[in-house]
This record gives sequence, C-alpha cells and structure tokens, in this order.
Amino acid sequence: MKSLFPRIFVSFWLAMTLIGGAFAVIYAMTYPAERAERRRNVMREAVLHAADEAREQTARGDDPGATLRRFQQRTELSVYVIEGDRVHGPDAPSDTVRARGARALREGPAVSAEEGGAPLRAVPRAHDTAAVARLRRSSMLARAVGADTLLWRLLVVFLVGGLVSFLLARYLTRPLSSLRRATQRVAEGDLSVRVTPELRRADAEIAALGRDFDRMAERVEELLAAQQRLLSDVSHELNSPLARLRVALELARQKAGSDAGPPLDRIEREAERLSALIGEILTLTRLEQGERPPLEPVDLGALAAEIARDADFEAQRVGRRVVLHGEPVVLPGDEELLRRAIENVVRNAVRFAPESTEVELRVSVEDDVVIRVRDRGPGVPEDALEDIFVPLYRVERDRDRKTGGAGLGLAIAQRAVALHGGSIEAENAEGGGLLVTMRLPRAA
Amino acid sequence: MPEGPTPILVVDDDVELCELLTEYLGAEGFSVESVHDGRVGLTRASSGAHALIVLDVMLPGQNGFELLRRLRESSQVPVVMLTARGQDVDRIVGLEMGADDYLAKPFNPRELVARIRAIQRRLEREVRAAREPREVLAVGDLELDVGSRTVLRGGEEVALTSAELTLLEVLLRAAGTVVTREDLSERVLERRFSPYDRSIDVHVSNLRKKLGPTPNGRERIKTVRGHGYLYAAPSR
Repeated sequence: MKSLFPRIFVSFWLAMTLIGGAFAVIYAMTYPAERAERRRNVMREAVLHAADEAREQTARGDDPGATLRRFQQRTELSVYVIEGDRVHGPDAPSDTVRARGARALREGPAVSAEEGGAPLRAVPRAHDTAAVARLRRSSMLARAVGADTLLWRLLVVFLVGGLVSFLLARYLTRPLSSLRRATQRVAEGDLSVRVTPELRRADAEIAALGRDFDRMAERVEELLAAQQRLLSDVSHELNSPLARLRVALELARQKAGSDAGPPLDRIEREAERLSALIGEILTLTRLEQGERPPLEPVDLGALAAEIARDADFEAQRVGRRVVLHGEPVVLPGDEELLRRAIENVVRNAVRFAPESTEVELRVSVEDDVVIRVRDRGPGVPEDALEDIFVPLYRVERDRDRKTGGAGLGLAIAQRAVALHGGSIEAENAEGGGLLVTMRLPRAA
Repeated sequence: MPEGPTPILVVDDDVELCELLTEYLGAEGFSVESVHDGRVGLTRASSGAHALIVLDVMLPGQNGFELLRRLRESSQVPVVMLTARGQDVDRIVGLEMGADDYLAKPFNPRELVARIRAIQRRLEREVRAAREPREVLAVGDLELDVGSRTVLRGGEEVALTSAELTLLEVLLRAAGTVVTREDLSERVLERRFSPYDRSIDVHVSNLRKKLGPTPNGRERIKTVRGHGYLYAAPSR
C-alpha cells in the first residue's frame, strides 16, 4: 500500500498536531499573567502563615518539621524557615533554599524561578529569620524532559497525534491492502481467493466491497469451470464419431482393392492425429481443473531410467538416441503426472533432434530436484521461449506438421509440474539446441 | 481345429459402433453379439456363451468397472476393455479389476483384432496344455498346474486372470533369472513390446498383490531396474 496509507496518516497527524498545538498556544497565551500573579499571592500568604506557625512552635520548643510536612502535603508548597543556622522544613533544604534565605535577610523578599521551573519566594521575618517557600518540586522525570514548558506540551501533542493517526490510518487501509492482495492473486490465476473472513472487522463500506469481490470471484470461477467442462464434454463427444470412423475405414479396406491402400492409410493417419489431439486436450482440461493430486514418494531416479530407456528404444527407430545422467532421488509427487511431464518433454526433444544426435536427460539434486532435457536441434526463437508452453502453440507451422506432435505436450508438462509446486522453463543452450529445465520441490 | 466363427460379446452403448464392429469382426472370423446396456451385459457375459468380451468402460447406468468386478466373481472369461482417451487411470483400474487387456477409444480396429487373436492363442495354448501330461511348476510354496490353469499357494487356490496366470508361468519357469519386459510382452500379451505400454507392469503389480509375500515375508517378484522382472527362487 504505497500511497494511501502515508496520505491518510500524514493528513490526520497534521490535523491533530495543528488543532492540539493551537489549543496549547491559545491556553498559554490566555493564562500566563493571571497564573503568575495568583501563584505569587498564594505563595506569599503561605510563607507568612507557615513561617509564623513554625516560629511559634520553635518558641515552644517543638519541632515544626511535622507541621511543615503536613502543609506541604496539603498544598504542594514547601516552606523552609531559616533561623540563623538552623533550617526547619518538610524535607532537607537544598543549597538554593539556604542561599535565597540568606539573601532575603540581606536584601528583602524575592521571587525567583529556580530549581526546575518551580518558583521560589524568600521573605525575611525577623532580623535573623527568613522563610522560603517553593512550589513542590516536579518529578525528576518531568524536569528532565522539560515537562512544564509549552514546547514540551506541543511535543506531546505531536507524538500522541502521530500514534493515533497511525492506528487510524491502519484501521482504514489494512482492509484495503487485504483486498488489493486478493485482487492480485486473482490476476495471477488463483480464483479460490476470498476476502470476507478477513474483512469482517473492517469498516462497513469496505466489508461490503469485500463481499462484492467474493461474489465476483465466485462467478468467474464458475464460468471458468463451466468452460472446462464444456471443453471436456466436447472432446468426449468427438471420440464417438471418430471411433465409428475408424471401424468404417477398416471395413472400407476389407472391401477395397489394393489401389485404395495409400489413400486409406492417409485417412487413417489423420484419424490417428485427431485421436491424439483429443486425448491431449482431455488430459489438459483434467489438469487445469485439477486440484493438487495426492503426493506420495516417487523414485524419480528409477522413473527417469524407465522413461529414458523407452524413449531411447523409440528414438533409435528414427536414428536418434536418448541418454540419461541421473542421480538417485525420491520426492513427493504423483507418479503418473511426473511420468507424463517428463515423457512429453523428452519426446518433444527427440522430435526436434537432428539425425544421429543424442537427447540428454539429466536428473540432479540441487536446492530443488532439477530435471534437464537438452537436444541439439534448432532451438526456439528467444521471444517464443515462453510461448511454447501455451497449448497448441506452433513455432513454425510447416515444420511441426512434419515432425508430428499435437502441440499440447509442453502445456501438459507445465500444468503437471505446476500441480507439484514446481516450475518449468526453456532456454536456448550454448552450442545449439533447446534446454528445458523442470524444477520440483524436494519436500512437500 | 476350426470350429466356426469365434463368438464374441460386445458391450457398448454406441449402437452404430456395434453394427460396424459386427460387420468388421465378422469378416475377420468372429461372430459378434452386441448388447447396449450394463445389466443385460452382465447377464450375457456371465452366460459362458462367448470366448471373449469387449467391454466399454463408459456405460450409462452401471459403469464398466462395476460390471467387470461382478463378472469376475463368477467367471474368468477374457475381457478386453475399451477405455476413454486421456484417462490413464482407467487402464490401470481396469487391469487391476481383472481385464486381460485394454484399448483406448477411438482405437485402431486392427489393433483390436490383434489383441483378441492374442488372447485366443493363449487360450488355445491353455487348451493344448490341458491335454498334455500333467505339468506342475513348483517353486517355494507355489504350485502352478499348467494344464488345469490353477495356482495353489500353500495348498490354497488363488484366483488369477488368464494373463496373470501366463505371466506367473513364464516367471516360474525362469525362477531365479530375469525375464525382460520385451520377452514378457511377447509371451504373455502376444505382442511386440512398445515402449510406453505399461500393461506388463500393471499385471505384475496385480500378481504381487494377489500372491502377497512369501511365508518368510520376502518379495516374490523382484523388479530389476533396466532389465525386467524375476521370480525369486527360494533360498535353500
């Protein structure tokens, strides 16, 4: 979510900071004078009162400390009475208190803001007695942070505003991120994605959007499934007349003279091509509709050996060879599908391999299990390297008709490999020919 | 000895296909009865009136596999299955259920005839063997009576299809040595081995399942990768 979240976040933050800041500034501007005046009055009265009481107590011989402490607790004012050397107070007086007291005796009453911004008032009561009053010290932390100033208050507004804006922006944009991710997955082909459970706690409008999205995904999924079924049914239907055609063809052969041999052969060849094509289409639709097949341990080394041997047998009849360089490996998979995939790629390679050359089938264990098939044929134009996996794609119409194949072998291989969570790609090998690489995960 | 056309039952709901097959197979020396429905099909197939059944997997109502399974409860008559293209699993399931062979529709009719004839030849050999002096192949706890086409494991009879029995016979005769898939294809299926044909593999798998391990818990039929199969000679 690159641009919506920051925009919402920043605008909320700015708004809160401005409003909060405005409040703080207005308040600071409205009240300072009054506040300072009131404080001075309060403190003067307190000092006088407390100092008098303390002196009465000392005159009686009591310790005024308790009184002064009670006073401090009730009013937040600390009053220290300095008589000559002795200082009575609610707690230990700081040096500043003593110093101010001494100065008051010499110079008269004074108010100063000392000690962490807490005002201090020193008043002489008699020729050797001074009373110093101080607003209770703010906590160390607040002092350290400069917690009494306008700047500090603005900072707090800024930070709290930031946190709240962040949470608010996240609340609003997270469901949208969710929705966007789901949309991307649909675009990549996964139609099973649904967002409603995730969006249940989102804003009502967004949740409604989520429900609409789900309905849409469901509809598209249904349409696609219906199309697959149609393709499958049509292919099945095509088989019946084709079966009858072939028997009728043999009947014709039985009744016809030897001249009719070649043309009937030709008809038979075309009928065989149709059969092969229909078979491949049916396999492909089955794979496209397919959910992940149950995965069992497959001895890929042995499977590759079987395929290589069979393919070599077949290839020798047309003057080519298939050679295996295999490593033993077992991986989770569906044996039939893997067999199909590898066979298709190998047979494809044999078809395009020039006479007297070899097709190499290599199985190796790297991060994944890697199966490489390489021929020394003409390769494929760079811009068509991905297209060859598209069903019925032809690189060059004429050549493919001569070399046979229905054009679905690689598409089937790709679907089969994908159902295993693997991948397949083609590249032109160094030294000529096509290299097809299949990668399969070693563990489920 | 020639006894007139061989009677064959075709069970397929495609009426026109059956008519064409009747004519075609008729000229090849078979007499065809065709049936278009599963229930009637089962009745006729169990009747014993036919030398071989051609059975379509995709029958409306009762499907072909069901029919085959029920037929096998009472009859070992050879069955060739017609399966759908692109449905590899059909072949394997069919063979596991006891079909002798299969062909994917749309099939090459000459291929159908070839397979029917192969099965016929095997049956003829069985008939001839039954007339020979009794020959029993005994290996470990198995006894295979070649003439009567029965197999005893530890004295108990094991029901095997014709193809499985022939396969076991070949392996037992060569017990302890490897028989290649090419050899097995020729001797059991009467056809040249073609690379992507897995019928032998499936028949071996069925045989393994039906026979189980030896009393010592060892595998009877070993796969020798790159060569073929062998029946393990008992270690004694």
